[in-house]
Amino acid sequence: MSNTETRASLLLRIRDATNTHAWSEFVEIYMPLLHAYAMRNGLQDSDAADMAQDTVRQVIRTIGRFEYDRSKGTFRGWLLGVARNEIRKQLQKRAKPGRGSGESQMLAVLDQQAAPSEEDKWEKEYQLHVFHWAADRVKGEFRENSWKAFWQTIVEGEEIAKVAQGLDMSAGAIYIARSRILARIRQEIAMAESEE
Amino acid sequence: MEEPNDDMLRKLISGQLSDQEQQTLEWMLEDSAVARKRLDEIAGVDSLPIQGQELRQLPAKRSIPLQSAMDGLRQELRASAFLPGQKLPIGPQLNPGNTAGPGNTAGPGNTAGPGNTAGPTIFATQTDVSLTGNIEIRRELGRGGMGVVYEAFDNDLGRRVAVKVLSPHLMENAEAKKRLMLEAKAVAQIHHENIVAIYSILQIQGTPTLIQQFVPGESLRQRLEREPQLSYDELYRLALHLSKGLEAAHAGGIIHRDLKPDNILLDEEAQVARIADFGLAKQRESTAVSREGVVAGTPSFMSPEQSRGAKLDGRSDLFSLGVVLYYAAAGKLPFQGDDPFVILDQIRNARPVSLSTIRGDLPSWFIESIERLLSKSPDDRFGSAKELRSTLEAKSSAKWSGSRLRSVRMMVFVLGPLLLVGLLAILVSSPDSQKAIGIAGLFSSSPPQNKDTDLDRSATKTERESSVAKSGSGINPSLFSVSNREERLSSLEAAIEAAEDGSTIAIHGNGPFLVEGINIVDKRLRIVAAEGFTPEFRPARQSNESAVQFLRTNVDLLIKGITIDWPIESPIAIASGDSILGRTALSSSGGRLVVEDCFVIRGRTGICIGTGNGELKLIRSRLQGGEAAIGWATFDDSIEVEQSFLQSKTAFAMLILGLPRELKRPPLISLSHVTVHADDLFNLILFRQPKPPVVFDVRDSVLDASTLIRLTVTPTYKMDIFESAAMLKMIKESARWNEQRCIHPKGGVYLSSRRVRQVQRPVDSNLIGIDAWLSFWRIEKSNSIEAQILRKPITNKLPNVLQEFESPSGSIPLNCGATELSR
Repeated sequence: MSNTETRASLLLRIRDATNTHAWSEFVEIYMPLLHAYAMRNGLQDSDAADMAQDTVRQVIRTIGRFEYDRSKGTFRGWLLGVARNEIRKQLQKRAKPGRGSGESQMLAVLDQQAAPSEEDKWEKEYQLHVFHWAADRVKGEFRENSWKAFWQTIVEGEEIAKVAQGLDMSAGAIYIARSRILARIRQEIAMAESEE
Repeated sequence: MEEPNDDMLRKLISGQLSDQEQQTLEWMLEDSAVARKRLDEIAGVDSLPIQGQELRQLPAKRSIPLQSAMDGLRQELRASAFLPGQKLPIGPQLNPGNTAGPGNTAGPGNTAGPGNTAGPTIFATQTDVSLTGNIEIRRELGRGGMGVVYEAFDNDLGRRVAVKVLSPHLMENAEAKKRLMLEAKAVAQIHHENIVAIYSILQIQGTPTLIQQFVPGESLRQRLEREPQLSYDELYRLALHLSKGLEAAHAGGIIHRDLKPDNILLDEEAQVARIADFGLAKQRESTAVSREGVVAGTPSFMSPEQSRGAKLDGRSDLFSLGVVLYYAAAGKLPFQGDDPFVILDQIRNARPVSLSTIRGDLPSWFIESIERLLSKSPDDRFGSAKELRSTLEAKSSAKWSGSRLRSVRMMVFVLGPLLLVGLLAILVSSPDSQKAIGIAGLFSSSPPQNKDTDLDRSATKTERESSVAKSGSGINPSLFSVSNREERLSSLEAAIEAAEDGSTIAIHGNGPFLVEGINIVDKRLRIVAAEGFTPEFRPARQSNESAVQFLRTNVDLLIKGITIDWPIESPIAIASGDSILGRTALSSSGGRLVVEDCFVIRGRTGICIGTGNGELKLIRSRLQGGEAAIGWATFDDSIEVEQSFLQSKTAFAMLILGLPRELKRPPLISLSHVTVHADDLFNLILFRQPKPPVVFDVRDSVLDASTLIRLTVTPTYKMDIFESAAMLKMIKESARWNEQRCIHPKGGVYLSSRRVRQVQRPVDSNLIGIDAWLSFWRIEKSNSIEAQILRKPITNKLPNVLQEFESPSGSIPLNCGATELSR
């Protein structure tokens, strides 16, 4: 895994606001996550999309200034804070008099300290998302059967023996294939989230 | 049975084992539950952050708003990376294709390893330019099917280059990508004066990009648009240059496949024609009709064999050359039709109208040569480009040796575009007397007068000349005073350095003063001409290569009474805010830039003033020349122009990026007592629809522009605005236009649109003419009028504002801009 050392991680590369390739990756990973989070907090689809965009813009503006303090938590924790802020802005805008009280209630909910369950959901959603993102990225590097062996046994939770029969592979070969693919996915994820 | 150790298992995972070793391990795993468990542990099968059921939920399918928000943001990011002044993002981290992962080091035993995919290692930089990332984008030159071309500057090698970012559609699969890169690599081996040189091929942000020779001048297409028929001498030279270029390429085994006027560049400095884009045509496109039966692009320049999808050799290019020459001689295409299929049929079967009936002035041997190139069968054409070239040369030496006429005409060939600029003095006949009366009454309210601008500039001419002489002899008088300092300073740079935030710098001399380009950071200043002086600034380096701005600031600035003669290819002369200049278009900073009584005269290209998140106020000033008088990348800027004069290709180039949701106010552009001479008055370059709409408040002005509002729509903006109703609806939603007492040119076009990467479509016919325009915006009909407008050429002489822009008959009071509109 020495490659990890030779290639700068995504979170490092986005410190350069002009590195549009890195930012494009960032958009790919984080915008759907932010969007889902906003939807969960009561925003409509298009408002959630706007919020996701605004949040990334906010990150672009601030990341170069090291506004998040790594000693206080992870990048994702910081991002959650930014996201909550952006949602609050969206809601405040709409919670003007005469707009009904549903949104102000949501605001009140949001203003409470993030419940542990919320942090947890955010984290889970991220893990799911980044896993599928990384899987998509590395899929092309493997043979179809190897990929199926990995997918069916690890993601879909099928019995090894059954998959071995279906794919006409030995159980040993399935173990090898899925360990390799998983290692590769982990590496990809590590590259995306390393803050070093 | 022996259990595999951890080291072996790790090697297995990273694909470092031989076939034999791997086979052995596979057997071991088959037999040993302990080994399987250990392998899973090392690979982390059970330590995934999410497991089982949770892992099985696929992430939600992306909704349309989300997908378009993602696309939009990416587009913004890309746009900011290629804005003028940006460094080309070349660096080692930008070759993601080369980091395929652990499989890279796989030995021969990789049955399932990632090493199987060769990956795009083809992009390993093939270099002949410096790749320290020191290539700076200057401006966009054009867009087409191939991609986007930028003018850029290689700071290390000190030369201008063209950066061509190839369209992703050219490489929809790895095979096409590979072929394309190989072709480009082959072209890069060829050095010939009639071929646009490729310096380097690299991958930037995942997109193959060519660094090419920069060719100053225009394309043959642009040339033919101005002047549809070339003279014989020009045709001859064109034929000779193109045949030489093709000869060299064919000798290198490269077929162009897509020779057409767009790909032929006329180098006005070297006086040669150069062929660009060798072999970049998509293979599939070269058969004209794809499997879906769709004709890609125009087939007008295709050879018959190409139209059939047959195998091509160099003689196919000769046919295309024949079409190009015929087109340049006749002013029309040899094979025409409304439908691409009709054109293809003509190419295969029809005989074009003989050139001799169209161009009686051409020698018969020349006409015969062109017609021979147009033979349906490759065998009937010239055998090679070389044969054509020798024929041309043989005829030339017989006819032209010792002729002076030729060199004179050669100058015309080259100077064509420059002469045209001179001819832009479109002196149009005066309008009918009724209209003249109408205008006289129209501007009965005259704008505020200003004494300063009525200075007799010519009286200061001798003074200025003597000052040039002075600076030439090394005397550098101290002419710059700073409000917070006792002593005067010898240069503007020194004065700015010495000034405090809030200071006023006064200039007690006329110059011209030479400056390198000044960057003001966090210092709010006023820079003014002292009473009785009309200082002028020029770039210290006259080279076209220095892309410095005269002034650049991130905070408030006022300049007054200054002439900036900036005849280098500087993108921006004065700029406020860092939005379009800084590292990213998304950063925020603002400032108020006030320009009073100034005269800013252009480089050949360039934005005179750019703001970003700020305000610009232009009073009693002139901006002349360049691609755009005012460039505007908007968030919530406002621009106010009063009693001023703008003359350039585009008066306002407005890049409308994604607007944040909360604006302090709607973007406002107000024009009052302004004269504009431009092709386009407002070019709205939309990345998304402006919300809230941009407000235009235009009054008492002369709007001499062929197009009042041009919509340029970027690919992220998903809307077919060529559909007339959709375009009208969209412009209505994007803008509020208030107009009072304006003069429009006769026959002007009021709205026009184009989608980036698509050919220009005809203008929407619903809004031609003033009546349609006014009723579209629901403006009082009697408020504005159409008139024929006198336009004078751009000159870098400081004009006498009083005498400028008067019509010969004196019947139209177009004496406006820095002075009054009525007489």
